[in-house]
Amino acid sequence: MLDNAKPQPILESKNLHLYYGETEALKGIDMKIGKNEITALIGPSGCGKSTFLKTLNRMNDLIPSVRITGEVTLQGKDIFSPDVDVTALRRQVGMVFQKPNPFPMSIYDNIAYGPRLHGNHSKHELDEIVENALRGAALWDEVKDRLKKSALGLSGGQQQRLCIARALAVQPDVLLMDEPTSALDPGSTLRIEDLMAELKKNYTVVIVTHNMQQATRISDKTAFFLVGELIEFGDTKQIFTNPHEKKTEDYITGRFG
Amino acid sequence: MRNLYTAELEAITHRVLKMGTTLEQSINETIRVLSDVDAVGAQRLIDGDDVFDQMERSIEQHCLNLVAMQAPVAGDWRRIASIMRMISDLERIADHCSDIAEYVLKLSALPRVSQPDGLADMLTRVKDMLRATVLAYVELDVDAARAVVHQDDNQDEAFENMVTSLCTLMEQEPEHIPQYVDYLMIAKYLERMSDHTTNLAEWISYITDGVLTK
Repeated sequence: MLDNAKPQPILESKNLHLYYGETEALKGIDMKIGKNEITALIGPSGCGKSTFLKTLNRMNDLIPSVRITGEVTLQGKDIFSPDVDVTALRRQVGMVFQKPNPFPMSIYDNIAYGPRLHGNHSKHELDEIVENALRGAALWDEVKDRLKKSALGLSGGQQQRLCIARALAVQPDVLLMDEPTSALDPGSTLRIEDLMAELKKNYTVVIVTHNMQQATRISDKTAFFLVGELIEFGDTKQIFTNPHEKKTEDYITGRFG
Repeated sequence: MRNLYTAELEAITHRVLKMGTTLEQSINETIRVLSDVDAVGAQRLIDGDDVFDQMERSIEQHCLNLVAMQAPVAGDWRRIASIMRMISDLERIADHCSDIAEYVLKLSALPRVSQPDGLADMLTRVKDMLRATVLAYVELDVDAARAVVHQDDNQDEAFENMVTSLCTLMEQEPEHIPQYVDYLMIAKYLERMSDHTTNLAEWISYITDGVLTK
């Protein structure tokens, strides 16, 4: 009965190995990511957490020396299967990066870029998509009167919310975030964190963060990576009050890093 | 890594140990003044109780600062959270030493009766439970902490027996009822002291294995 109460996994990796040439960067990762949950990936630099994140929407495919074995399924379907359209996968599994990277165009066009790319040119529909995405990213009220102005004029925190809105515009199921607040001031960071709590109602979020407090504030589950291994994965509350593995304890208490 | 933080944690841990061992001395002294019905010693105990209040407040402030400044997690967090509860139990046990001393003052003004049977066992049990708890805290020995928790049942039973035997004594020696009422109160404080010691032991278990048994 308990298992039924748990959110269904939307993403699942099974025995996932990833090699950069001879270097094994992920060593057999088994992980189930629950639908409508926020999963935080933590660990020291080089531990494999960002590599794992990027594997979830096949961003690593861009690197020629990368070799992957094992399986990642999205809603039960293998994302490495030859019949998978990578562009469609990335629409379903969106990504927000460390530094806000708005396109050098208007706020409106930034958001409409994805839907247009996917063939939507109806002004009426695009207007609606842009408004919904900006509302979803808690940015609408701040920019509704200057949609045609350049996105580059926004503050760092606003730019990052714009990038989240841009990811939402193509109606993904999963949002991957790679240290989305590490370049932002505390106020903007908290606004993004509040936003994530909202996003979780409709999306599944996987976030890489170096900020332990951020992981405790926002995530439901926490995964601790170390030199390519998933050391511990569990409820955030359990990981931060009573981790089962000594390595996890040492890392989160700052005994090594 | 985090040397200053680790040093602060250790400092707090040692301050609690110091509070525990100081309390052990108070309990030994309580046992002595009770057995001698020593009014002067009892007054000294009452006057000395402020030390524990100060220790509690000061350690609490130390913990709050560490929580605010260093955001401890995992085992460190369990330790700090537990210590913040433990110092309150330690302070309450010290209060009860002082409460017992108040009854020693009352007893000293009345004709002497011999100390009721069973009271010495209760006193020894409190003392032993606290000693075992302090050691379990130093060693982070969860088995020793659990053994303390089991001792509490014996203390509860001893208190019930005390009530029965004191009632009998009051019937037999109605002229000494005031003294036996005082001893009854003292027995109740000893039973409460064991309860607080049990709380301490449960927090030590929580620090050690993260399982809350309350």
